[in-house]
Amino acid sequence: MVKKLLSNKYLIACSLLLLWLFLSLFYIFNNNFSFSIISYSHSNAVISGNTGRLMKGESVKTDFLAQEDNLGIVTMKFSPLDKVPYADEDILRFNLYEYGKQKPYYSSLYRSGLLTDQPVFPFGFPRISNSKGKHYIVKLTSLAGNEENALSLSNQKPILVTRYQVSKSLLLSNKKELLKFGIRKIGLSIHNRDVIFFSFTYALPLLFYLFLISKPGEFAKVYFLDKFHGFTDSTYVPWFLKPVDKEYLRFKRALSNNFELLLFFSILIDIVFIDVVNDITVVLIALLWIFISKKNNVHYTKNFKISLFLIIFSTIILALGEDNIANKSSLWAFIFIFIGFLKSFSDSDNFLKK
Amino acid sequence: MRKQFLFFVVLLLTISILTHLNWFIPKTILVFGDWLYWPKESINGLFSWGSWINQLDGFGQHNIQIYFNIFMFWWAILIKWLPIDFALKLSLFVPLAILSFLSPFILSKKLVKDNLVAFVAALFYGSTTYILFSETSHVPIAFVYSIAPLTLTFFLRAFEKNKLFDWIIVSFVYSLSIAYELRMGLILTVLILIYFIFFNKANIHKYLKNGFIFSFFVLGFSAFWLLPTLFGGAGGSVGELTGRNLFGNNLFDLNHAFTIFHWSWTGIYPNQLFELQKINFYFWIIPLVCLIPLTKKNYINKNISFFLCLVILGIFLTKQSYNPFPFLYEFLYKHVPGFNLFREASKFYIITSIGYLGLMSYGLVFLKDKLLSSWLYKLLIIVLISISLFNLKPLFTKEIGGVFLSRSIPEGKINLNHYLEKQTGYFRTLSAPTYSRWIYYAQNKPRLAFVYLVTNKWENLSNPRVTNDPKKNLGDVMGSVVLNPYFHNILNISSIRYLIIPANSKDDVDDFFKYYGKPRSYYEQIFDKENFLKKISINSTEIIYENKKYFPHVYLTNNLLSYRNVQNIQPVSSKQIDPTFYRISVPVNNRNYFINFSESYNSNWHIYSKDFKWYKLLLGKEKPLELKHFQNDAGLNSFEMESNLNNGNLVLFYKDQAYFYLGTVVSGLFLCLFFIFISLIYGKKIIKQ
Repeated sequence: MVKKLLSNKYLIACSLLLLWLFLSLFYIFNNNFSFSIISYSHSNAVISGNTGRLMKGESVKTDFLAQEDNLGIVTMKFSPLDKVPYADEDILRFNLYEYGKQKPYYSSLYRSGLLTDQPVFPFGFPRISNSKGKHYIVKLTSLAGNEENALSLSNQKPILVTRYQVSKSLLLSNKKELLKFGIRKIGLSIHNRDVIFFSFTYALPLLFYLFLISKPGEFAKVYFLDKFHGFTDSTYVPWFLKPVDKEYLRFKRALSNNFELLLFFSILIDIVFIDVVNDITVVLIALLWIFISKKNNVHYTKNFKISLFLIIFSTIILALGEDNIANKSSLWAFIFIFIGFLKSFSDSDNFLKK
Repeated sequence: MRKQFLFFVVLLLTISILTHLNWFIPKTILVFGDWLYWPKESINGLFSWGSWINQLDGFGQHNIQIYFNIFMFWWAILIKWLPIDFALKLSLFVPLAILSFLSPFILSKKLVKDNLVAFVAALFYGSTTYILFSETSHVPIAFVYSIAPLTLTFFLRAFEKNKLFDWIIVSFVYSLSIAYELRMGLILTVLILIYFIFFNKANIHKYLKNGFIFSFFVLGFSAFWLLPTLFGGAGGSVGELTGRNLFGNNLFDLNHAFTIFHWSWTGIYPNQLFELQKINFYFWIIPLVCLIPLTKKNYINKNISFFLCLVILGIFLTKQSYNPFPFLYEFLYKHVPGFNLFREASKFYIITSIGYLGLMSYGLVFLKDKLLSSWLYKLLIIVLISISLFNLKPLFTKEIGGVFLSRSIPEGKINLNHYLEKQTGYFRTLSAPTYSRWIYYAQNKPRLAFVYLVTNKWENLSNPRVTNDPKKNLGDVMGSVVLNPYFHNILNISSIRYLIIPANSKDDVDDFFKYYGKPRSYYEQIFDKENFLKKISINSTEIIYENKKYFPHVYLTNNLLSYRNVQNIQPVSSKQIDPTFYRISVPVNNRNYFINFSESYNSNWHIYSKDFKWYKLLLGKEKPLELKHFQNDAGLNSFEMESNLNNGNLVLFYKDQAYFYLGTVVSGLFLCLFFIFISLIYGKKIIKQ
């Protein structure tokens, strides 16, 4: 029965498709602290005041238009800074004003140590139930900034993200609202780099399976040549199609034989461009890698070579002060050492078999 | 070859001595962090570190680290003839300094039979930041870290030869490792199990007989701590410790795990503020050296695979809650029995270190034979030695501080210590905000820290408005306790005779006022206001108050004692045999009364008749008097004595100590058996020759 099910290509492909959808939705709905929080990036937010490092008494300001009701969190991205001793930390005053009002809606003090631990820092405040359409100003003032401890906002956009908590009970009691909320949340998430990347990695098993079951050229035949029925048998191929066909087939073969390259590039993208770590992505890529290297008879030493490369990369990057990227690189180095270790047991020159 | 071996051994010993110079000098005083100052009187007697101790908490507590007797016994014996500092160096510091280099050298030599490689690997192991940090204050942990490669070597030998002699030797070394630090001993056990699974699981039947004898001896050697721990009331105390949340998630990540870079390592004096330090780039050279040979075909074999497995396991655990799978460490901590002893992951660095030790040994031999030219290999050796020596630099220069520095008791405190030493009878001292590391304490003069009490036993005495106010600090909480109208009563009930405000100190082992938010003068002001406290002058830098109305250690009251309602007390003559055993004489009375015993309440304290024998207790032939045992509102013991049970002389005994006595006898017998066995084997050999 199981064998029969496993031999059903359509069933497997559909399962992998469902897996991709499920994991992508799961990530989207758990991405912003909780299911009922919705986030808006303000990539075009204008930063005024001191945009460099905040010394004592200096402030930086930005404003935004609230997109929803129930505004409760404003996250701001800071440039990485070395941690300083607790006693030497800066103290930052966070003020949130409603546009046109003198008195801040919320004001609180934060130690800079918290912000160096968490470069994307969520400033929370009592939820504003009727925030939609209102204009707000965020102001950060340094109370003890100096050469050692002064923070600055990051250059990487979005610097400002606002978060809104929609009532869970409302969503659960009203299916229409829930559906609308879901669509809105998905729509907003697809602008997020992390969501796109992780969703892509969740699709990798499906993509790999499709390449696995399609014989070289067949895929191209279906999607390109069949549209121009008769061209496959004919000696005449229109000039505009020929390069596409050839290039596509070459690409297809290369991709089919070197799917591992695709995985490796995914890993590099993950290391360099993605801030967060997603365990599901780590597991999926690792499993695919094991599967592909088994299929392609890749020697286990290749895993150690990759991990060696990643450790060297990590060392260099760490020297440049990019701790997060270095840690990511070490993470993948560790995964490859682990895979290499496991694979050394199953390879043909396995010492355990001798 | 033998000459070369001896040359490297001498070289390593020289490095040990030069890097740990103060440890080899008899008169130096070594104190820092968790490593306390031990006055001679605090460990007076062979059983001073029994099931119930008051060296850490002056009210006494169940001892869950009874295995420390492995060196406490020695101290108790040696201090009869030697100064205490010298005694503790002989039993702990000197072996640690020597083994930290020699033990990995022996393991590496056994693995690859190359003296130079073994020397480089030993230097690496003895200079990892974790052992250096542990040596500054967590000395028993560092000891097990240093002896672990030697234990593993003995195990390898025992597995290879499978001779009874080797198994008995290894049982002794292994028991020693566990007894110095149980948690590190547990990790070592896991390493050995992994080794067994790797190499010998198919031959398990071959090892059954000797494995059984080995286990028998290990149990015998460990009986002195195993029996009271298994059959005594350690559960609650262990539960208190293991029920805590994880600590220091922000101090661990993958880069630090890869490079065995301890969070506190600065290259000089370690960071004490729990701030993760930046990794120096050269720390990556070791992982790279271990990894390069793995990229070559036909290099990996079963031995290498074992050490690689250790590296993977070690890195995975020492990243604690860092990515990937950040939830896993906490899951293991909460659900795997025994794992909850590891509240933070640094102890697992030993796994990575042994893994790298093995990989480096095999790797260097491979690089020499197959990959590198002679001069490149030599260059690599020089680089590796330089890295280790660079790590050891702060030990040479003493910049690392900790127990590498020799301390001296400040002049101003010596007078106070002499004064306290001269006072007779049982009493406690209470220091505010906490006690100076150098203050005198003995088994009949325990010390208490005010800040510890207001957050634990005396929590109810503080003003909730102060404790719940986030703007207030611990100094304010202590102030609110002093203002409590029952403050005098609680001091009396707790047998507190002296209140001490230590002097300001800039010394790194005694500078504590800054942690509690109030200056020294604040404590003086609050105590000055209490009329019942009399300031006394004894030519000391400390401010001392005397509470003349303190109650004795054991006394009688007509009703159940309460600090809210203090009654007339009747002192009782009591004699302490050891901290778990008191002989008391109560007067004949024709009505019920209460015997109050000012140690922390524990249901294992019982009162027995005067003919009490501890071994009868184990046989079930000794029953305690059937008294009602209460925890009074000061958290101490009160027994209700009925008039018909009143027979004058009684024994107050902590039940678990009987298991400790029995265990000590068993361990002693096994030790004798071990020495007889070794003598016989060697005797036979000599006769044969």
